[in-house]
Amino acid sequence: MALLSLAARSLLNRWGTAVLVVLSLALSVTLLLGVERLREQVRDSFASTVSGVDLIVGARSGPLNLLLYSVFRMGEPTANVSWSSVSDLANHPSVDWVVPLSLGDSHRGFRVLGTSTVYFDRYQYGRGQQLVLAQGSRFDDLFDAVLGANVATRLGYSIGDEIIVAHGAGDVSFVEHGDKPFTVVGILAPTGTPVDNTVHVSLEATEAIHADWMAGAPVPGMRLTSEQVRQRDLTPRSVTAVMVGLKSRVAVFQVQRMVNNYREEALMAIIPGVALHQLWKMMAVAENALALVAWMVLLVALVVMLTALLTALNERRREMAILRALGARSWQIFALIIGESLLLTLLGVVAGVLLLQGVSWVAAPLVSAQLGLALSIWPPSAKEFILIGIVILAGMVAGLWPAWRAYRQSLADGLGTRL
Amino acid sequence: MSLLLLQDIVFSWPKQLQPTVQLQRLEVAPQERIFLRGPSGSGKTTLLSLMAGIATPQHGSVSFQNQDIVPWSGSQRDRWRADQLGIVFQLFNLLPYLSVLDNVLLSARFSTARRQRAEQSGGSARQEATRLLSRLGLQEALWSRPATTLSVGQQQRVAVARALLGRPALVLADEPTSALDGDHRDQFIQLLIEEADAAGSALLFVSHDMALAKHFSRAIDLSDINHAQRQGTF
Ligand SMILES: Nc1ncnc2c1ncn2[C@@H]1O[C@H](COP(=O)(O)OP(=O)(O)OP(=O)(O)O)[C@@H](O)[C@H]1O
Ligand SMILES: [Mg+2]
Repeated sequence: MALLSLAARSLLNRWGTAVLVVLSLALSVTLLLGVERLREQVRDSFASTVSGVDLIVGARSGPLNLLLYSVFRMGEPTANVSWSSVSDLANHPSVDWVVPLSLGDSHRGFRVLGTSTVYFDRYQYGRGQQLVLAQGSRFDDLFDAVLGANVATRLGYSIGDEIIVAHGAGDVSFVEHGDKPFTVVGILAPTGTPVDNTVHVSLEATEAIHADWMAGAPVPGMRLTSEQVRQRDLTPRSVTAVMVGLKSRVAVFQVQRMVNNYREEALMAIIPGVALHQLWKMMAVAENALALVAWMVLLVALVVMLTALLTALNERRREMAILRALGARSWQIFALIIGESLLLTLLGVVAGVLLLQGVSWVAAPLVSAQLGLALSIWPPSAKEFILIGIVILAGMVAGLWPAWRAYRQSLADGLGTRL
Repeated sequence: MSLLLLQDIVFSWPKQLQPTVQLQRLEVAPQERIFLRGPSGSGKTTLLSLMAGIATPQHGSVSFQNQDIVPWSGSQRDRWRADQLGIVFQLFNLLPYLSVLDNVLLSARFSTARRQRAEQSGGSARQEATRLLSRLGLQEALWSRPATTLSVGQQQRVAVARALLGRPALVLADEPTSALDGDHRDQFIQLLIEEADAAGSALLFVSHDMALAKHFSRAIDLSDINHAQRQGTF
């Protein structure tokens, strides 16, 4: 249509302000969608990190704390679960399987998890997906290690390499178990969960490297070599947490109650889904605050556009008079301004989405490296499309005011040259 | 038969107590050449707005070929204006972001009737536009230039080409020569009249400058016919 190309040419003639308006809209759209995307993606990837586990048992503390350190490798365990409790639990008639988890060591910033080989059979993520070995095999010998996908790629390890485990979870470790190196025997396929950032060893190995330790420090004058340590009884004294699978999900509350009332030790059992729900509730406050800020920024961007449109209106009074003299209808003058606000908003949305894609593209590997959580970049979710729709609508509504003014002006000016 | 006939007009701008235009009768015959003069503020531009259907009188009729356009809807009048009128302003006639040629072609863009008439006389609207531009002394080198890079005199000639494209029934020119010097002024008016003749358009030309009246078949002093002005002056 004639008018549409005129509108585009006119806008192009004022490209300087147009670019600034589009930029401010783009940034606000990036923020708005980014906050939403972050919320959704964090929820999705948290929720898909663990599946098929009915209960997680640990020392009595907060349910969130237990969930975070056992599954997401965040934070520190406060106390341990003794091995006799683990055995009791495993022997409970309703319990199908238990996977003990022992945390506390690390390798160059990656957590080391001591567990049993049952872990590889029972741990599931996403929609019931199992862990798959990309190379090699599960640990078999005492000093075998299986690496998560990120650990292998980031540190450049392959099968047969030797690694040294350090005490403590920090990036910079002070005490290394340098006398007892591990051999990489397997590397897992990527999962998009914290498993990717984990070094897996056997429970016995965790016990073994601490055999000559006491109360978190090497015992002076007592050094055991790898060979000597193999001769000892390596049944673990305690573990950090236990994942539990039940024969029937119906028993879940009953077993949970049983664990919570366990006499021998102060234990706690959580249902992963319920604990996640608590996590969402806690995060909701922060999310809402972020979302509020994002909406305010959108409002500011719309005000910027409004300012630009209203300022341009004075310069364009002449343009409107010429168009009216040529026979442009007064509603077309109205449409011209609304169309311009719509075009600016659309450009802002497109630029904002592209910017967000760029940011996600850069951030995804960082998040994966830091948290082991996979962010998916494409396609945008339904909620994002709704937000985009709202932004476009808001842009049009903001355009109503200058459009109405232009319309009134074009009627009131007549053929006069009023500048 | 009259082309345009204004009768018993009373018009006041919104929020103004005094009417700006109040006249009994003003007639424009087909292909007539009229010179309209009047002191500044006497309502010349307002009268043109009424004749162009951009403003509508509170009282009276504006008839085009015996059809009163006052009761029409706004967009009916807009379409009529696009089809039948050519308008030239005092200054700033051109859209700065379009080329000279595109500015001329605007008339055809807003009216199918204009485009068809331009095609009849020129083969295509574009050919007719370039023909008019050449006739008005604007060489081909200028056609694709942005309109604002032309001199004021050249811009006014482009505006005339646009007003005449597609042979409108009536051309309204509101002091189009006020920014030109004496020689150019006469030359400009001669070209305007020649091309209006060729297009078969009536021409109503507004100016303060009585010296220009000699080019026209009829001269009207607005102070003589506009009764509103008499009340307004002290
Ligand atoms: N769009 C408008 N809105 C309100 N009042 C207007 C408008 N246009 C003109 N007027 C008023 O109408 C009166 C006549 O103005 P008009 O522009 O018609 O005079 P003019 O004869 O064309 O003057 P000039 O020779 O300076 O162009 C003036 O008092 C002016 O203030
Ligand atoms: Mg005037």
